[in-house]
Amino acid sequence: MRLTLYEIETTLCKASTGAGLPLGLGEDIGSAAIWLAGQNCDGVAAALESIQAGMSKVKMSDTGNGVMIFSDACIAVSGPSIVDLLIGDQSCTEIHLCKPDSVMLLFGFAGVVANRYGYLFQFDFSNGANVQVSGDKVVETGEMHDLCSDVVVKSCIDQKGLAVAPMPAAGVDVDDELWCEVLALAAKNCVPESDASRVAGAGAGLTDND
Amino acid sequence: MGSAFPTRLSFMRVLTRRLFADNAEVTCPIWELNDEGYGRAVYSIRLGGNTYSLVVFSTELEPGKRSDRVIAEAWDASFVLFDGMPSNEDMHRLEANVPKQEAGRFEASELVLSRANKSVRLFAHVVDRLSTGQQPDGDMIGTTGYLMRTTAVYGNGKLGIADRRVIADRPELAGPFQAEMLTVWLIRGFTHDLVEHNAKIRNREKYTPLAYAVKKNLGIGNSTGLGMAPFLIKHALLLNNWVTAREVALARVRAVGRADNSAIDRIKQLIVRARQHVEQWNVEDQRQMDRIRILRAELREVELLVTPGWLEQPEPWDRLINTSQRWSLECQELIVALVLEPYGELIDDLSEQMVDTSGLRLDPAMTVGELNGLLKEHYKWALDINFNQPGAEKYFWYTSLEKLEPRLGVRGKDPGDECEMPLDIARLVGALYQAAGRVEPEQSLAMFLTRHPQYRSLVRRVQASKHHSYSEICDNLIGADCMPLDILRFKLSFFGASKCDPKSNLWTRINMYQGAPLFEEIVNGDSDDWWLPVLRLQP
Repeated sequence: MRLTLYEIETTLCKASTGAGLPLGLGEDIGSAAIWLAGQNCDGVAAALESIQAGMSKVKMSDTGNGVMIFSDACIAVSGPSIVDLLIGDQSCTEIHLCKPDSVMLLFGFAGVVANRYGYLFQFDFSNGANVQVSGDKVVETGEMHDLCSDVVVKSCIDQKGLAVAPMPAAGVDVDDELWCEVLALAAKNCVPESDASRVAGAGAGLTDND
Repeated sequence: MGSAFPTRLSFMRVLTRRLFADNAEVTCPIWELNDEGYGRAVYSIRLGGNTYSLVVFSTELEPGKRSDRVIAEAWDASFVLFDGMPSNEDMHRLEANVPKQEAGRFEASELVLSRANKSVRLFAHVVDRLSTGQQPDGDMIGTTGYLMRTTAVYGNGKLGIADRRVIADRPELAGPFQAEMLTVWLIRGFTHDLVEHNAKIRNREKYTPLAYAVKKNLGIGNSTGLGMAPFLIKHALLLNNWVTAREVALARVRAVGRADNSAIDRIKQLIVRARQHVEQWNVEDQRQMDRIRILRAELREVELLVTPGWLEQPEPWDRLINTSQRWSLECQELIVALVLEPYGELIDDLSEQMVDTSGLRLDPAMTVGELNGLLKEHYKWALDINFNQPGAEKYFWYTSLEKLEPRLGVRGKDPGDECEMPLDIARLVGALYQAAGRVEPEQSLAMFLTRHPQYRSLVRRVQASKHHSYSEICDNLIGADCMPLDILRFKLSFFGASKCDPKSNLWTRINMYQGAPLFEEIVNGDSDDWWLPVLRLQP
């Protein structure tokens, strides 16, 4: 079905919190998904793949020489931090990811931040593939990246400055089945119907024949 | 917030000024309503070089189904604002979807979706009167003030309609809620046409159209519930930009050294009008009615104080604002709106700064120590709340599965607090402050949030407070004394709504576009003078 960017962003945020993730991560997942949509990438699939695992503790170790290692990286949980650490923590120069569950979603997180603050993110995969994410595009060189590969991520200032990310004005086609899964997770934030809630919860009557 | 009044920066006023500036002409290319007033119609308007069309479906509604709640499933009329002029194919598609509202599905050619219910008694009364050659009873017009109430106005990508970014670069719709305000103004015109249509069909020989003064005073009602509160919490920068624009406007006016004669005359006229408007503002809600009575008395004092001689002295508006502190909040807020009114040339440009195009952003390089500084400086109001006190956590906000209606529950009594919406900003701030106090102040927020991701959203808000003084509602929104109604009135005043008519602490009715220009007044017109309108049915 065709969905608007608003629907994708807000519903994925709700699905994330429905899956047990904190609101702030959900907000970033929604933003990443629509940035990916502008790249003709399936941001919904990328996000769902990772948020279905639910909340987990980030497994991070600091080697002390500027390299941080994230093992068994659940990108929905650790992805925003990976990007934050690269651009915001002086002690971090590169990050090694072992078995990330959704590299595509990480491209989305990187793309959003690259777009807002003018950064470039470099992803070097263990199978030899290289991907560069800037504010307006994802460029892959060499081998096709292997989703099972480990990845080294670095960042630098984009000398081209701020970029304008493409956004599909007419919305995005999303697989129906996939979207049903997103909606089911989002519905976990809602309280089931009851007569008492219907009558008292909104402070208004049920009919208005004035 | 709970005493706010519309100003000339309110979004309806911004829209009507734009309509005048563009000489916008409304046409009605399709009017296919049967003798009962059911069918379809299209109104088109050319604005900013673009055509927009309000597509209307008027349908029969069983009285038992007439509800202003989000949970309603049928309405007297349903609407969509279409981008351009709809084709026959579009009309068929819209006819199958628009009356279903949330159960329908829409495309990017649709900009706003809405529905409305009749104010049954007034609508029937007006049809009766016009069909017998008489004008409606003035008291009935004054008591209700509208023929229909909108019960939801959806924009920005909901249900498949166009994302806001589609129209954000069109100057005519770039301001906050301008597409929604245009839709509601067109709906108001439709309600006038519908009531005249029904009356004319009933008795073509005796029928008389609505008198100009009556028509002008028939606005469009709106029922507003809890949904507006989460909106303002979520859109912190938008809230900031609205209030900042108003405060800057007020500062500019207060800085005026001497008022010229035209401003003095204008203020004198507007005080009289404000008094008359407030005299005509009557509600059933005791709390609000008590406030209105006090306001009436205070406005008499204002009128006596503000003589031409008093206003001719230096810095009259600054003195008036300072003096107003002796009166109630309702009176103070009314005076703020009053003094802005004569100074369009000085302040109207601020309406362009009321949008937010960036959203809340995270600065991961900020240190925890800096964050703590912001918490101490901008969130003392939250840190001072003792959440161990009885009643401090009385309520919880939630979304019902029933059409996603926002509701308020009592903690410990109503089920669902495990699904609580994160509107408990004050309580969350306390927890963040504790957590931040346990780590080294030099630590980056990037590292802090890696270990404490539960604070990610809140940290964005706190960081925003550094440069956005009005981004938070400084109150405990889950406390026993929380008044959601105050938040509703505040937001509605920015829309330009007047005559707040609370139906509970969680729900209000209002009137929009009462006294506003009619369709036929826009072309070659130039009157933006409809702040706090007064019902005058006699010529």
